[in-house]
Amino acid sequence: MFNTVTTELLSGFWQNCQIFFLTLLFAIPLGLIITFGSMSKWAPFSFLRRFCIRQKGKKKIDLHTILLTIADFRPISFITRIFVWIIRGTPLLLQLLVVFYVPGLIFDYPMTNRLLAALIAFVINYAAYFSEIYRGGIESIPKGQYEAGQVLGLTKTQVFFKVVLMQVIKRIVPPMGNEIITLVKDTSLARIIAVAEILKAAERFSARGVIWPLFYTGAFFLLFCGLLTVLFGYIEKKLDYYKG
Amino acid sequence: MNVLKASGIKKSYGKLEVLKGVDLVVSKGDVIAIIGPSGSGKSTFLRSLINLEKINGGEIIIDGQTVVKNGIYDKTEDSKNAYKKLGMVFQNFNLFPHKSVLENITMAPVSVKKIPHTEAEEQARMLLAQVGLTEKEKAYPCELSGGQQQRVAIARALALKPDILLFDEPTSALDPELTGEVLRVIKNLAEEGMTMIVVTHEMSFAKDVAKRIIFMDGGVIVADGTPEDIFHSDNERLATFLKNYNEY
Ligand SMILES: Nc1ncnc2c1ncn2[C@@H]1O[C@H](COP(=O)(O)OP(=O)(O)OP(=O)(O)O)[C@@H](O)[C@H]1O
Ligand SMILES: [Mg+2]
Repeated sequence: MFNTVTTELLSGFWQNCQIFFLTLLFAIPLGLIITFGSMSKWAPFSFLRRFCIRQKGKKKIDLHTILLTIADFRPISFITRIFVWIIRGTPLLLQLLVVFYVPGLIFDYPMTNRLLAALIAFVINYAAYFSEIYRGGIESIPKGQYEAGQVLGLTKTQVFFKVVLMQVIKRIVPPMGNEIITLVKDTSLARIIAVAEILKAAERFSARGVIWPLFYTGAFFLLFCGLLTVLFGYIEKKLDYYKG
Repeated sequence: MNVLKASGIKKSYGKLEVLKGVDLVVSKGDVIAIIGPSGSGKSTFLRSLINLEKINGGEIIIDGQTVVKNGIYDKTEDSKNAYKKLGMVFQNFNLFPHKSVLENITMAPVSVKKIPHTEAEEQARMLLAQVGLTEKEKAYPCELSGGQQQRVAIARALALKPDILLFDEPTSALDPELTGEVLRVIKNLAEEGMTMIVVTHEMSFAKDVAKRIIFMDGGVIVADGTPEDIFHSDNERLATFLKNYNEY
């Protein structure tokens, strides 16, 4: 009995692992793209600044203020931040359902691959969280680092890769570690769209009155998270050669 | 010969006009100290010269290359290269914390000037000897005192062999007992003929080392002359400013 349960749960856990690794593979770079989007300074209407002749009027909202607001509008940044707000502000469970059901309901193009649907939802969700971690990391680098790079003649790309990136990585490793460990456990949410992950597998036993496999699944998660904790501890230690 | 010429530099932050037409001509070998009350625009002016602030009006010519004219920036490669003739040392050092002392110094020569690695390291060791930090080449900035960090920052700036070195209050972030070692390095550079512009609150340093002192107040240059001229000027604003440094 123990052996059959173990094999069943293992095959379920394999689904969790697939979601886990593929989500990381895609969400880590996608998060960076979202970060660049939310930090984009592109302001297509900035030319309007030229028409801002300051009026001496006493009106609170004058043409000057309106023009300035439009001139400062950064559409890419705005849209990306709205997107991140929606993804972080709604449950992952709901997002899974939306990705799985909405294509069929609206576009008459039903999702047939449950794992793929789960993966899409996870990648989008985690990319949004990662992007905020990256952004925090990038924004925490003092302006002086960029200025020092500039006066030394480094190009913007060189400043990013040679000066900023390593410092950002050091700062984001702890929050990324937290988020990635959360991902391990979140993968079991995929059972809401009937992905045959480990909890789903255990539930098949409990439906027949065998409860203990359900608790046994905890061991899989604990082991996996334990390994990750050791790995992140190791990385943090490696990056500990300097302070700051 | 003029290595740097700035004329009519104007700079505003929104409604606040910080520089109201500043002129400066720097000749080879000049050691210029810029003094003046807090908020008078010294840093803004220095940062404008090296393109860390964008000016709204005026002209900057670096070694014959006009990089800004009437407040409009020239975007050519020649102008970009002209800025490489200027080096800068910051108040807060701005060393790269993840790089060792040696790597801080070799980074720009290797990745900007494409100097071979070993050659850049050799040159970096000579510069470290010059600032008295030979034994610290493997250290990381966080392992150094402020004075040592600033000397590394000076070596890093020198590694690109700039024609002019700009300093923005190089000793203001240091404990008083550490300012001496940094000022001595700057003094040695002056004696070797390095062209420098130093924004400073260290009056005795300005007096001893500078060949020329500029007094800025309210976004304009109020006085410009030899230390002798400046410290015996009868300009009222300058006299009031200097009186606050009652050690003199
Ligand atoms: N980024 C900025 N945005 C808005 N105002 C600024 C900015 N930088 C400087 N200022 C203002 O410009 C004025 C001149 O500043 P600056 O730093 O050039 O003075 P300073 O002479 O270097 O003073 P200190 O001796 O305190 O360093 C100050 O009133 C300051 O508040
Ligand atoms: Mg200043």
